[in-house]
Amino acid sequence: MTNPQDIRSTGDAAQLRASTDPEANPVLGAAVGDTNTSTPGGDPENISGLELIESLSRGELLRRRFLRSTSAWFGMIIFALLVLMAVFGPMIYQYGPFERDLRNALTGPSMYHWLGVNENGLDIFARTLQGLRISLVIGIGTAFLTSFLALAVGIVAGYVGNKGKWGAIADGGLVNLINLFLVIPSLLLLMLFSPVLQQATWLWMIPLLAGFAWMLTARVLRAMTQQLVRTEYVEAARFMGVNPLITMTRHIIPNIASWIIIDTTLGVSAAILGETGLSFIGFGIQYPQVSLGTVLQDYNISAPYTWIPPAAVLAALVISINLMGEALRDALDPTSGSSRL
Amino acid sequence: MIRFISIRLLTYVILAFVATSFAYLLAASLMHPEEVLYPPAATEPVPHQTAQLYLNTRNINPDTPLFERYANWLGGLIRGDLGVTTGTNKSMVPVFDELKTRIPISLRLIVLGTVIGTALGIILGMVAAVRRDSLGDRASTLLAFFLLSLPTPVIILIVQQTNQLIMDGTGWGLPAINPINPLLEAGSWESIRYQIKALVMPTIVLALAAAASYSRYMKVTTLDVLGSDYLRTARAKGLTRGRAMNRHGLRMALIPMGQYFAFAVGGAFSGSLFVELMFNWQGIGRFVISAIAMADVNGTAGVVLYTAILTLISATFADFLQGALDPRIR
Amino acid sequence: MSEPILSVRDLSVSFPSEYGTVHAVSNLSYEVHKGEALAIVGESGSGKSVSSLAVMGLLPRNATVSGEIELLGRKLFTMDDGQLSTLRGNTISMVFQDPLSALTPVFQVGKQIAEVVRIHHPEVSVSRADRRAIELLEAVGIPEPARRATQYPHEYSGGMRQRAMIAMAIANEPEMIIADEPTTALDVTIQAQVMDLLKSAQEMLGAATVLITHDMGVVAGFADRVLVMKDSQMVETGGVDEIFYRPREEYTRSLLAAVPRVDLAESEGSKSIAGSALRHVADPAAGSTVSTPREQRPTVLEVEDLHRIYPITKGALVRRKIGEQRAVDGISFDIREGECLALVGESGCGKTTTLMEIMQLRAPQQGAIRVNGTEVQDLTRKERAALRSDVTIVFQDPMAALDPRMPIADILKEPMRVQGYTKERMDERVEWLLKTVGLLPEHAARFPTEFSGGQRQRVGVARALACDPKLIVLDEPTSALDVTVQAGVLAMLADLKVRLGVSFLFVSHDLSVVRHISDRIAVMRKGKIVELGDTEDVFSDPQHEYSRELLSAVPIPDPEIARQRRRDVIDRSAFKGVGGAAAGAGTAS
Repeated sequence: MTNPQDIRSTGDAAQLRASTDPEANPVLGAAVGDTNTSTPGGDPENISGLELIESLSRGELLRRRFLRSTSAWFGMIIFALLVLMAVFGPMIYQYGPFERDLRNALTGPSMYHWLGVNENGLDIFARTLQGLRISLVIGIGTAFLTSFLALAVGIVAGYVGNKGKWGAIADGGLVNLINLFLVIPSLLLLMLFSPVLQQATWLWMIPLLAGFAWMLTARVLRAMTQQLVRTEYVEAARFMGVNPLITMTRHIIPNIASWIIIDTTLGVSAAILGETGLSFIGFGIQYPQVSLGTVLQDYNISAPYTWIPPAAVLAALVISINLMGEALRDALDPTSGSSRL
Repeated sequence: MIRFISIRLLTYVILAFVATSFAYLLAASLMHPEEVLYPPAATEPVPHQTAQLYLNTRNINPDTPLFERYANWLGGLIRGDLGVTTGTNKSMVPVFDELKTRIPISLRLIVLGTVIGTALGIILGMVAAVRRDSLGDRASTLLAFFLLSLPTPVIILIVQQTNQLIMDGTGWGLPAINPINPLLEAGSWESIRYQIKALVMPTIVLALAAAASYSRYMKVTTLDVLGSDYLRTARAKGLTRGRAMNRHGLRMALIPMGQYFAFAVGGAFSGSLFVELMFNWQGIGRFVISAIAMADVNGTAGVVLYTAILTLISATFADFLQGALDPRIR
Repeated sequence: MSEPILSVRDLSVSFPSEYGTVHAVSNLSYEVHKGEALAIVGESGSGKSVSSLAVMGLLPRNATVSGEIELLGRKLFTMDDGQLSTLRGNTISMVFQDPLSALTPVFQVGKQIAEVVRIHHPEVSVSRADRRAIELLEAVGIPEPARRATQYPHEYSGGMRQRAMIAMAIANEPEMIIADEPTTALDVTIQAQVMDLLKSAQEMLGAATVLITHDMGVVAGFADRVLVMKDSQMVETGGVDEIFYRPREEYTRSLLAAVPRVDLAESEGSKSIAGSALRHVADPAAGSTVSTPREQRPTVLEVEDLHRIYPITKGALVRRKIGEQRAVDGISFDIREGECLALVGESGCGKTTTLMEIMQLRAPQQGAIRVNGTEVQDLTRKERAALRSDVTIVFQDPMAALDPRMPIADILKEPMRVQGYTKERMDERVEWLLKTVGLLPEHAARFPTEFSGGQRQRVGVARALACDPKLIVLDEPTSALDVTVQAGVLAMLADLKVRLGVSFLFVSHDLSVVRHISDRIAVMRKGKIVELGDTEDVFSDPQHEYSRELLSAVPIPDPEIARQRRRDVIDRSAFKGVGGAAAGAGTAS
């Protein structure tokens, strides 16, 4: 427990002897002496060091830990059900999201209108399904684009940061860009842009949301890259004369990949929440498209069935994604909470 | 310390200025207030001369180059004049006056919500970390998880619906909409009581949202502190677990929280937007929604300036807090 | 003998983990008497620190503990946290390894020392406790204690922080002091001072002391008795002379044999068996140097009047230069073929900066670097890339030097790929390289995390050898390794030097390590080389005062010699100051 970086093991001497050809190194035998065979499994002083000794690849370990968590299974099952519902639901349901049935306006769930009709005579179940489709596309698309933007800015800023004077200036510029985007009230700018751009297509929502969501991830990635650039293996690659671009793709990205995966997963739910909020106040997805936010917009506080279905679907969607993301995070960093007290 | 704060303050002022300018230019180039004022389908075309005059006095004439309009707006900004509102409303209400009446309404929400939310979040997060895996930890972590998975409108709907159910059941409930009751005499005891009651639900919503994210951050930083060497030293000195945490751990755990605080106010602003919309408060949030919907360039820019200043103040406050807590950055 | 202050019986500690229960300590028993110093020695992972944390009652909550610990006749495992708190810091105190992280960064040092007085003696007023803190700081040899007491830990140097930690530990005159690797993070000259201080403090208080360390040299000068641990179990225990001169167990013998000795020449006559294994390391190396005289061999690297100056700037927006830090201040040396030059100095002396300047292969700020006789500043981009195969580096930390996501084969191929080797040639060489550094060809497909520290360092050396370099720069290649592993790696390096004829630039802070492998030594201090000469000459007759100081500070793993060198450093009068009387009365001991 004394030093977290201390992952040397006592098995070292014995393992060395076992795996080293004594002919090639005659001095070694004398130097190491006749040590007793050590217990397998090595380093009791540092528990997090254990995973390094076990001959499991990191990916395998992650997968195992992930699948062991019940919340991961819950998340995956709910998410899969919702996706199936979004894909096949509208095919079998008799009402479309824009069909008006004004005679039944503001009536509760019935045999024909499974979840009721809102005050404009629109079927809530049909609209919820359609909204789910759009929300899913926007959520996933935005998350990927956000991660890509963050990766590009974060890695470049982190990598060039200690490359001389110009590198520091470029890094400073990117950091200030990140700060600027953080200071800008992004909600207001989204409200400005969204109606204008959506005159072309609702898919504009994806780059728009991504454009105001990459900053915090980029900041983290920059810090991580800075740490990696200082590691000796990146330094070694530099001293071998390896091209910086190759260094980035071969050494830096693989080492932050797991973090990016987690962040992308959680980014899906963040994007869905953002889009919902925006659509709710009327600046998100515009007619003739519906998202869960626009369905929610037609709420009527005296008729709970007008808002509970879209809210429940939305909550199930976001919760399932967050469950998967959290399980991934726990799998990656199981010792995050080991405390001394 | 003073040097540190003043440098940070200067950076923030520059950032706020750039952000506001950026927003003005965007709004001015994307919006078409003239179409709202004089819709193309207007029955009787307005004489060109009159229209130009109208647009010029409001500094929204699309025929004037964008940067000239920007320069005009900047000139006004220096004089403390943010222009007048546009839109269908042809009475020239100065944006400044509009903001002046609305800011107290919104700020009441934001400040109360943030303060209560932060305090609650810090306490919950710390307790959850110290009593890890206890019932309280599990409950608060789960609650935070669910709250963070719900968009603000849904939280508001849940709170309102609960209130409605209580009202239906017992006949007693909190006012669902409006911050003040115009029927009651202003300044009277009744009116103040109504105002306080009206404040409860919106504050609950904002405080819950803030507390959920704060408790998570606080839990993480507290767990870091719990694993630190200095806390072990403090215990080796003879402090019990709880006293070591209070005397050495709490202050260290609060240091990184300062940075989260700077962004929390931005979050509270978006939260207050929904609250104002759904509780029908005539605050900044409602104003900006209608301003953008009606292509009110000056009004939008004014609100952006207000949020930028708000962020600036909270970021400076966060830095100040950090400087006070941590001697290393002084 | 008197009643023991601390007695540990059958102590076992285990932790749950991903791969089942890990036994950190099994069936450990020992006793410590008044005024006695017990050293618990072991390599990393032997369970020595966990056992001491168990005594303090500071183990993580998930630990399972069994056995019995008695302090002054009180059974510790029957006490709750509150009762234990009255003992900790008062009857038993602890000095931790890393003084930077062990002091709370946001409180003044004086306040932190005063706190320990006030916790156990609430009747002492705040101002009186503050005064006591200043006296304690004075007693442990901190200059200007009154001013220093109001400073924060980050304003202290490493040695001063550890002094402050000791002041904190002795504040309430405890009966028992535990020091957990107290000097591991410190430079060798500071280490000597801190160990002397600790010893003096212990003798002054007459406290029973447990010293936990991996360093046999430190043990020799400090302990009365020694307990050797390995893999969570006790290997043997006995008086310090007994352990050093007549160890019974094989493990103790090999541990001692692997300890490098700075007093190599005298060690022949020493009764301690320490360093015996490494005596052979130098032998083959010494044999080869005789063949051709140094002057006739070609120069591989020549550094002439090298400077590296960092400006110190101030101001956030407009940067003004307010001074400069001369990290490397005009150094010159050369390395001939098949030679090993050791660059030795304490932290911050500029040795790493020198390395980086050489490895950059770019024009230095001032001075010249010549590789194989060509000035590096004249190189074209292409020539520089080609030259990168001639000058390679082995890093200090074998954990950080290899990309954990790459199999060993890819790691070894990386430099060859840059130099444009064919696929067949690369595969061939990977096999040869692995054999050369004492690994098996099968290891090529494995990932670095599957190897131990020593094996990883061998991979690092193999990577450095990949393109037949002329010069390998070794940046503290063994300082992160356990002593027995270090001996193996040093032996391999010495062997490579002879067999392949490569030259080494061996950078180290540890004089005893380089003694066995280097032909020439350059002692560096504050950016300058203060002494440069043949290894034997420098060790037998150091010319510069600083070299002498460095040499004398290195602990000697021989109790008799170590005892002669000990100095008394604590300021007893300051400790017994006004406040001391009050605190002393409070303890009623």
